[in-house]
Amino acid sequence: MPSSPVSFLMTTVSLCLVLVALVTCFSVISNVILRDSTKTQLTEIADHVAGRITELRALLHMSTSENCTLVKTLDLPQDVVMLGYTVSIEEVDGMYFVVASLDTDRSVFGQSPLWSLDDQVSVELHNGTFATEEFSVDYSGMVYSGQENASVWAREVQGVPSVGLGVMRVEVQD
Amino acid sequence: MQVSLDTLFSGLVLIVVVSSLFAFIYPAAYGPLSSTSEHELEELANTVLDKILLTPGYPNGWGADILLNLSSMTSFGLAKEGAHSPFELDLDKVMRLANSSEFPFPATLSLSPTTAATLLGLRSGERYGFMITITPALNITASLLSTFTLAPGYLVGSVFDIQVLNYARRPAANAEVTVLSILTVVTCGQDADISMINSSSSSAIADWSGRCTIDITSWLTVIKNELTGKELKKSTISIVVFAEYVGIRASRVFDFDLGSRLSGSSLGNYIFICLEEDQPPYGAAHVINATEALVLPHYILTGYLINETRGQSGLVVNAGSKKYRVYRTSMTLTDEVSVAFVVAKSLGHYFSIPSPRPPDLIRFGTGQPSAMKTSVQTRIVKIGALHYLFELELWREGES
Repeated sequence: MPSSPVSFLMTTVSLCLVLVALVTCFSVISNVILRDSTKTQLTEIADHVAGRITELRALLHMSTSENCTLVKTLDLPQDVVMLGYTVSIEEVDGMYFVVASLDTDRSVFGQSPLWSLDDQVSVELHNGTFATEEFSVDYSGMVYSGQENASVWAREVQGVPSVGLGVMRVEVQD
Repeated sequence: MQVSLDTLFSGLVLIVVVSSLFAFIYPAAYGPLSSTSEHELEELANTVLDKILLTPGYPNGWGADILLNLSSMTSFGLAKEGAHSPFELDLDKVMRLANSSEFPFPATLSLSPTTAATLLGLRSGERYGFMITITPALNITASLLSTFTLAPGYLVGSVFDIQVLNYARRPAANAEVTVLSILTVVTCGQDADISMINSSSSSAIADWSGRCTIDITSWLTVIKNELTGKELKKSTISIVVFAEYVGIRASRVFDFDLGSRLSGSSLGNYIFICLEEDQPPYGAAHVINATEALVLPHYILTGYLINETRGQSGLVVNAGSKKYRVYRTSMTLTDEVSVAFVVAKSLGHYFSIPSPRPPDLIRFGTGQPSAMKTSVQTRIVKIGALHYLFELELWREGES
């Protein structure tokens, strides 16, 4: 049988180990919950953006104007769990998806389907600018949280419809 | 020893307290999370619904093109090409959702729910199940109250009780009800039987309970007088009830000519006649080369049929190699045509075969909702001149 000081030491160490294990467990569980919660919020943001793109696509389809440009600014949260995020359009398995992912950890993301790559409406994933008389749009296939005037746009030029993400800039007239 | 036991006991108490805390924290944290997740499903369902109802799909005219291989579609949507208002659907695209096991529609023309799910992006990443239900925006029922003797042994319905409920299943008080009665009579001619189609329109206003009574006895009396001296071989009546309630228009076909082994459906300018030969008595049917198309509430278009079934005898329908006979109509069946009628003779009897456009109930999807949470989105849509209730159910398959 161990002496009293040794026994005291063993039980104290065991207790400390149990406490460390509990704290680790708590940390893992809270991380899992936080990750799931973040992912759900990002998916909701991706769904929201996909919904607005679908609406613009539908409006563009119903428009009788030959060269039609539609832009809608997005009302996105400044951050998700105090972290910045990026909303982009990506190709996954032959489909276009709106993907919202954390800037600090790209593995935490949410996505929402748009349509097939073979669809007649193309999705602009490159950088560029187009302008109308009232505003211009800098597009790049992605927008960031907290970005001012982050927008979705849809336009039809010479019968070719396209949609994308960008930043709207209103030209100030003197 | 005493110290060890005390420490052990306090350690156990600590573990129990912390475990209880975890047991409390986990569901407490996941409760709101699951609520957020449910809300996210609503958002996705809303986007999918917009995609289905506001985009035409690609190719744009995929509904009417019966030669198109539907697996080559690159986008799924039901919106009518060139529609001037949102939520106006293409009748032919809606007909492609008809389930051939529930409605006499060739299975080769039906769109596969899996194809639709893939095109909607519900099969990439997280898998979702969906079910689309399309029903008339007004629930119309009709029952026969009285019959009229057109000739000895030939009874047809003459007084009908109509009830109209709105989409919330509440009585549609003061709904305007118009009943188009279609009476098909066949008399003996010198060389062949003569079939005639007569029609009459009657209107009434529904009472507080959404009910009204339509009596067509006086019209039947006129026809009875016209038939005097002729040998009647068959009489059959169908009624098409059209109701309008606060701008919402709906119709339903009631065929009181039971016993027909033939059934019909329609797509574009084509009519498909299906012969059910599952049980005796067996025998061929002869389709009369005439068709009537109803544009509600008052118009009837008449035309003839052109046989389009390759290798099959024209107007004779039998249990051959093909279950369906395909006829093209001489007139253009626009989306406003709510029902097309064809008359056929089978086993010595004449039958009137309605082809409703679209059928009263369309259910199209990957299966029955089976998840813990199902998002249900409902919209009133317009197909042709009528309104329908479009319901989309969406769920995560992983939650089953």
